[in-house]
Amino acid sequence: MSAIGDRWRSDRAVRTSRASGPSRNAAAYCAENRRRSPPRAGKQTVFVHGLPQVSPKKFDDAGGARVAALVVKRGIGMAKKVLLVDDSRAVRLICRRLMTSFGFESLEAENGREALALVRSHSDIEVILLDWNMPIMNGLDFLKVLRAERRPLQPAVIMCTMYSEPSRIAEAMAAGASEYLMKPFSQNILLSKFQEVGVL
Amino acid sequence: MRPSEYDFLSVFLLRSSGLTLGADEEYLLESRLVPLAQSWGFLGIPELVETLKKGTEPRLATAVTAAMTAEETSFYRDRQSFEELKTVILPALLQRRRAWQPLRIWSAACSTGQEPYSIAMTIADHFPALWTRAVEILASDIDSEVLTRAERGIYSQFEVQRGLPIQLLLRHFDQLPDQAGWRIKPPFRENITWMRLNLRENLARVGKPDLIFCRNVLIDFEPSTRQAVLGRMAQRLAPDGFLVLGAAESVFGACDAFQRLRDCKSAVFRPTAIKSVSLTA
Repeated sequence: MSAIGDRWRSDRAVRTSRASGPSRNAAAYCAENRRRSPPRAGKQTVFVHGLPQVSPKKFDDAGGARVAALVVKRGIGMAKKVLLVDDSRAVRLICRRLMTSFGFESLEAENGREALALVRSHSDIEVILLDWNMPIMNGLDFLKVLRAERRPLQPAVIMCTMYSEPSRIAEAMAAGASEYLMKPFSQNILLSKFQEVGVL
Repeated sequence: MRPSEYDFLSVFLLRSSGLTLGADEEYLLESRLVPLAQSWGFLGIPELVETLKKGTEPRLATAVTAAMTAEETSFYRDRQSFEELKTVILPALLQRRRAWQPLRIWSAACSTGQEPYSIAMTIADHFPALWTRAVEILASDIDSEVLTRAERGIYSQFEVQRGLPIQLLLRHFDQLPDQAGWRIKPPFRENITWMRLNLRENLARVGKPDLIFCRNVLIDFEPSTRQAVLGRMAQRLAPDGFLVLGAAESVFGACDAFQRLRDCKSAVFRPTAIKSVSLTA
């Protein structure tokens, strides 16, 4: 397995080649997400005495073990919600798996417009993992709209992109990003960023 | 990586070092073994595995084991230690020192430099007067190769993303051209003294530090060595100084020259000669 985001270009190429097909909306992706790895139904098998069983050995450092402990402590019905916004299905798939291992429930969108719809209908999203370069509405524009909205709870936003130039990073932070993640990245880096924005 | 290669490496590492790989740690193997394979002139892990299977390169076997068991380090590792450096340790030390007196900090076993640079960034950001005037940071390690890396202060994109908040990356690092990584700015590199030092030997060269960071090192030592190293550190440390160990480490049963500071959640110790184990008592 390569680092996350390493293969996003090839995935994008695949997506471009079938661009004539019907584009899926966010709801369809969420439905697909639920069908592929139904969060509640699937977890029934791993709950014991009302707590999910997560082995610290699954993680490769002390930070991971602490997350496992947090997941165990959190228990049923307390999963935090993360919104994964990326036009690469492969990146969303990998991130969704990691989010599940962190104890998060994932929603997914493939562009800024879908993400806005999801944020407006789910007020309990705590963190958004946001790609920059996407069709229809890019990540930066989404972020500006999101931060301009009056909301009781503003989710943390981790910008997650191939752009690594300091000027780009500064631009995203000025627009209201909480943290910035440069692709490719590893599980530990993602974990570190989630800790940084205080959702773990 | 093919499943057969993963299985072979899992068994090999279990036998050579007792390291147990989980079912989904393929990325860990790749992140550590791909650079090693390239440095040996292999095209990738498959070739490395083939050579390991032949058993003709004992040095390669050692290198693979070392690469996989090497302690991971990151900026601001165990964040609590740095939080308490800022809120408890440095204020207490500054209260007892005159403004002109230099504060001496020793990062023992600094590896590739993330720890001393994290200390330096903490001081520069929160105690700017101290940073520009009166702090001396000594960073030591037994491995001269990692010390050279630390002194250059160049880190990959992976390394600067672990533990380092993005704002600090922007503030304290310069991006190198051609995706060659990020380099910490000159004042940090210039204000740290780098020294090759074996903790098992005489520690006189470190002088008289006010604060020692020695995290996640003693845990790998035999009890007798741990006791001896702690004893020598106790001799070097200023009477009102502090010793910071790793989160899972303690001096209990190894050395009675230190007592744990109750004010801190992280593993912070003071010389036993200091009567109070609390700064607020």
